[in-house]
Amino acid sequence: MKEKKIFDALTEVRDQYVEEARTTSLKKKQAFTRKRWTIAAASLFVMLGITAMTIRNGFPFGGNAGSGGAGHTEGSIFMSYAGPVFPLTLKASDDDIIAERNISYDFSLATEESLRVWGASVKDSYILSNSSTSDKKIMAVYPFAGSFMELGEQLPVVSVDKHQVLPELYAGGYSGGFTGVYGSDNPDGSENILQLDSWEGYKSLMEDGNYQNNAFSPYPELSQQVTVYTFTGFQAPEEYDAATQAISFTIDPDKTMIMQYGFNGGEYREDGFRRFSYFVPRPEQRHRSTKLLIVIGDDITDYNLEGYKNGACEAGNELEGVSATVTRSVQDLSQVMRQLIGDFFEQYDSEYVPVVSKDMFLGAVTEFFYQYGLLSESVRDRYQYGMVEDIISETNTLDRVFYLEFPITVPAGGSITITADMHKEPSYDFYCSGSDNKGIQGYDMVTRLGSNLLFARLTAELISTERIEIVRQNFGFDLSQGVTRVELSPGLEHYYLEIRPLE
Amino acid sequence: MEDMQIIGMFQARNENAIKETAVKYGRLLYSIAFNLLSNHEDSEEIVNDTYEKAWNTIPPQCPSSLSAYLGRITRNLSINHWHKQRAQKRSGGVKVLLSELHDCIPNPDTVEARIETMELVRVIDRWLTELPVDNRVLFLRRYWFGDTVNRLADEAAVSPNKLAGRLYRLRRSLKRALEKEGISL
Repeated sequence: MKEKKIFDALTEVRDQYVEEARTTSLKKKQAFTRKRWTIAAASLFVMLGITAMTIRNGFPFGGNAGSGGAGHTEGSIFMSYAGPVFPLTLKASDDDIIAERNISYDFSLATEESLRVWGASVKDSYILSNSSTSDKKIMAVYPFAGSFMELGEQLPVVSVDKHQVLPELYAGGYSGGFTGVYGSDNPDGSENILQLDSWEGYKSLMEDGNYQNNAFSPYPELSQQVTVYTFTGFQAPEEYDAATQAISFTIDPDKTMIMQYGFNGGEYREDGFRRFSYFVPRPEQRHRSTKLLIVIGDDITDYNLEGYKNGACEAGNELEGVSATVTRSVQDLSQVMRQLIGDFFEQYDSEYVPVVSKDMFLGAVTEFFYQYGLLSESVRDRYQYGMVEDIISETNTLDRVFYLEFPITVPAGGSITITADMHKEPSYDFYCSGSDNKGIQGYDMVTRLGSNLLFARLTAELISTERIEIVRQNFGFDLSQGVTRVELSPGLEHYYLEIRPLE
Repeated sequence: MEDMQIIGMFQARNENAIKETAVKYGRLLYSIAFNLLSNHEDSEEIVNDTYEKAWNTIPPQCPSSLSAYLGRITRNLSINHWHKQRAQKRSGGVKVLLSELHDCIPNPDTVEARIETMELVRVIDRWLTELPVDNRVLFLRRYWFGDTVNRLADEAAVSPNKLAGRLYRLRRSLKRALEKEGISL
């Protein structure tokens, strides 16, 4: 077919023009009078069976970007930053406790079948000595960077005098920020995730102590009474694969907020008109499709239900026979959210169910709502449409600092040992980024950040180094001379080690 | 997440690459497929296949524009799917687009040689280069991404008829460019 040759040739036009067309608006530069948006992501996730709308590793390029391999006064800035290993601290500072610390990096292969080194087994060991004449019963705190989603792999195993303990887990809030939709190329806005990319980022986050204090504070609560519109009994003519159910109404945006769950599209207008729509689930999916609108504030007064042939909710595209049963109820928002979190992981993200308690995860979701979502005083662009799925997913996947708290007793004039064993993923640059750091793995540790302990001695060692070479470091190791154990300066805040696996 | 990060995850065989791709480009790819196939389930399947193909081709491919690379896969898969399905069921999107592009085809009587696709690409690419940006964007939004005339008219704040006229003039312009290069299809 002749037309197909044109079509095929068009497909191959240069990337630059495709990108230009994708990102350039046809609209003249003037204020929008309304905003349209369409979201098919939820159904895509179901289809993929993945669901986690993960935005982990949202490491900034530019600005920071492309900064992988970039020069840095204290080691490289990597495109994917795993965060530093933090020092142990005490819940309350105690001048009678003196600490010695040794950190070891074991670069053994993960399994015999592994082709190359990826990550390191880190043993972060402490000797705490009590110089006073009375026993010290105190709470120790061990921080580590991670996410709820990967907590199972990241959680350090803590031992006191070689006996494993069961610490209490506390989670800090999301550690990064937000940027414009095109990242560092257009930083205005908050559509995109901007995760931390350097130890200095963690320093800014943690050094005044507020982040840790917040982590140990009770979570906020979702005690609001909200009106919930639940959609069930989905019906649509079988021959329309993309039959769409829409609900439209008008609100006073100053008095009413709408959160949505399970919807695929919507329309917002400045005059308060709202239309939310979803693809009518196929018959075999209808029993497990959860779709609801949560009204916070003044209830909606009238709404219209409309059916359309597909996702285009516009005149001329209407479809008879599309219907749903809409049930109105008044509930506690936390109760609704608890239900939706369960539904989310059951439907979309069963592989990444958080390993923490439901209460803890609900608390983290609640905190996220208040910090960045519709309940925030500064709603981020990313969450302005009130999609509950986004909040749940990103609470799960975004990086944060966790804290393990456990009691210790340091005898008068005596000492105890504490060890934290963990697998530490490396920081790295992406393979085809053109970075000089391709293939290099970075490992950061900080010596004082977030810690109130006084360190009298600090050492580091490398284990199983036969499959690596050191590219950059400030530890002082020298593999060619067999120097794999070094003294560090407790006064230096940051140490970095960059290695390349040998094939 | 930046494209290079996602590509890096593909390179590292990190399955999160698929998730990140879905997060960033799922909607775009779905809309390309749906614009061509007008079928929800087929479009979902095409998007899924796009992810699989990206997974199987990166590496060794290292696309300079991930959106264009993925969109190209989706377009190709969609048109192939349409051809497979057309005997059973006509799909409006592709049919309409192809019928509009018929305007671009020079009279076959004037040229004898069969033109290789790459030559055609070269000429179209050059023609696009010479277009003002707004026309280039409009043409590709309609014929690369398959956006509807109504949607484009809405975005450009003009009537659909006016926009259709603009598209017609662009198609005729492309036809003249092809004729000028001695291309017939």
